[in-house]
Amino acid sequence: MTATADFPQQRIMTEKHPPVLEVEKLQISFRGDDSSTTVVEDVSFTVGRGEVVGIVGESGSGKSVTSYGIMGVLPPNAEVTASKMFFAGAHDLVRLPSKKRRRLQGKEISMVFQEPLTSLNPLMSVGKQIAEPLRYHEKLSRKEAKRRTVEALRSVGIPRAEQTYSSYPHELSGGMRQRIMIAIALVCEPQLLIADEPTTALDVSVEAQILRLMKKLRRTTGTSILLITHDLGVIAEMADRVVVMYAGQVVEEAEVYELFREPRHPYTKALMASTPKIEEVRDELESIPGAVPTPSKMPTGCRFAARCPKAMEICSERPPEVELGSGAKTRCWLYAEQETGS
Amino acid sequence: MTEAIEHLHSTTEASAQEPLITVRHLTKKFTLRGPRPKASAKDEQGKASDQAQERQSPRNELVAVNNISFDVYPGETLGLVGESGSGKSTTAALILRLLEATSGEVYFEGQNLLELPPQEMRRRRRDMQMVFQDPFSSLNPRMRVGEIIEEPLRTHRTLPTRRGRRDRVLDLMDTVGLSPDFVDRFPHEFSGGQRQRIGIARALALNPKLIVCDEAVSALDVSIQAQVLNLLKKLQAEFNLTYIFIGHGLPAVHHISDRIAVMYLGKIVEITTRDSLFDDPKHPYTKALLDSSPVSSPELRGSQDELLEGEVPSLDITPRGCPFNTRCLYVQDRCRSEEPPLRSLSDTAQAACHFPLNHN
Repeated sequence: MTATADFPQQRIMTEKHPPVLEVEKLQISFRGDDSSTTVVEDVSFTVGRGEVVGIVGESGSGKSVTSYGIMGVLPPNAEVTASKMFFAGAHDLVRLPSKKRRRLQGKEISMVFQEPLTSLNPLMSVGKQIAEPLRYHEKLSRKEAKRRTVEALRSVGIPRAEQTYSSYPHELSGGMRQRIMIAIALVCEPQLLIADEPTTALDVSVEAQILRLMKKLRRTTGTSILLITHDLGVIAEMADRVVVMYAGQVVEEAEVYELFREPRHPYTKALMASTPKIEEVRDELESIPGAVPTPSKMPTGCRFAARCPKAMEICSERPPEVELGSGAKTRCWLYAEQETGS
Repeated sequence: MTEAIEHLHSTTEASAQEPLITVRHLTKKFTLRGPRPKASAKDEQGKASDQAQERQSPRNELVAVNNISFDVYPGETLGLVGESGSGKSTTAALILRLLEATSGEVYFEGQNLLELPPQEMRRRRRDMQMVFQDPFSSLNPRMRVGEIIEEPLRTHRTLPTRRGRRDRVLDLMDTVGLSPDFVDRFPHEFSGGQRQRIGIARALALNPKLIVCDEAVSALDVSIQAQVLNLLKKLQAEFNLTYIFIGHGLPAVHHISDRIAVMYLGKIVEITTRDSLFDDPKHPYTKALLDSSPVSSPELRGSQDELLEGEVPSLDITPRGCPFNTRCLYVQDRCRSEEPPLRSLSDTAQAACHFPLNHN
């Protein structure tokens, strides 16, 4: 694929080591009283070492549930199955007993959530919250944990780190709280950081600062990042590779430059055309008619068919399959036709 | 294309017209209760120790909107942008008198709204409506869609018969793209985008002249946001509506606005046409805000270098001189002592800066 030519160094990194995360045919359902609802189906992707993979999608696409499934923080009525979900080539995240999983959570895989105020403990100083994983996972002494915490506070750009150590979340601004979340997530130097809409609740200037911080941390620590967002701008700014989700499925996967230059799936195209851009003046934005189907009423064929300007007869009859393997993937009959034809 | 030309025409024409709204020296102060928060805890620049830089405003007082003046012309969209706490929403609330101003004037078609007795203000309000950010909390969950849209018609007694009101409601639903079959449904049966359409239909019910859209598309998914933005533009053309469009997402504001005012710490720091703002920002804060917005394509990575450092200072300890001097990349001595007034820099652009960018 020409896509990889833009990122030669990336390619080398991913080829030398096993991927940090391999997900194949992930399915997540929630059991109800007498029925079960599948919200994520047939989701496959990998995250290479040091790579930033963005998952983009609108409400109901299943992007957040996917990330919770990987992190293992879904409620007890969730059922997670996958033909493969490996962390660092060694840990099977589907079958991992909870005791062993806890050894990974917050140590090797950590997570940053959208709303830092509800994710932080309001009754605990932020320093103690950052030190917690160090004490738990690395069994550090109180003194040593404090030293590392102050270091972590500095590395996420918090001024007067010693004083902030004993502050409580309500005393800090939204941007500062999100920096604390990132410090907690990164203090044990995880191999994979999952960031679920990390900047959605923030002002643009603070968003830019947090994105810049995440880029810097990736560069200095080599942490891989799985970035969940609804914002194509954040993807354009951060991602190496992009997974586009729609109605619980991956509809397209491509290297980021390729995706923006030449989106393939009609949904990706429509998403880009409906996003206003400050470089262009348009009278009208393209919009996608209709709404995302609900999980209980999923169509039998392609899930986007009802809203797709290019829908054909086959689209509403049979679901298109994604070609697995390397390079770009598109879950669309337009491309399946092309491939069988050639 | 023809529409674009017409549009250009209408804006040049607009500037020769009488403004629909004229805001002069509008100010809103809030009195704070309880002990003053520690000033130093929040200041991330570490400049808190430098107390000389900060003017302590009188105790327990917060100036949310600080002596702002601007005009809005009929048929145009004025975008209002700025970070949290910049005073955008407060400004809108003051214009509609949902909040009482501390001082200043707001003229609506030449009439000072702030001097109107309550009864008359109430009558005047049918000309000005509002669409809110959160379509989940701004619609009464116990009322049917038809009742929600009908309520302003009943309150203002514009249509005496039930039949007449019902027809108007169905008509409005059609206008905003909602099927009239939904008239007896409740808000929870609708998606976010549809709810926003209900809010828009309600705002349109009294044939207003002005609609204030307070973050009206911020909570919506991209594809739904596009539908609502298109609808707002269509309605504007159809009914010659004037919009004040408050937003924090620059791309959406860029898309819909003819002119844009940038607010910082309760002040307007720049106000100009859309293109002049995006192509040739005059105030360093505007430039920094534009550069902070995520790029629209990976090809543009790194092209935006002037990120804002630090955060907005707390409103109750605004800096002496230019309010932006604590974060400005081009700050000079004068900025720390003397507050720059909002002044004209070209036919269209006004900025409050001693040293505007690209200006001789």
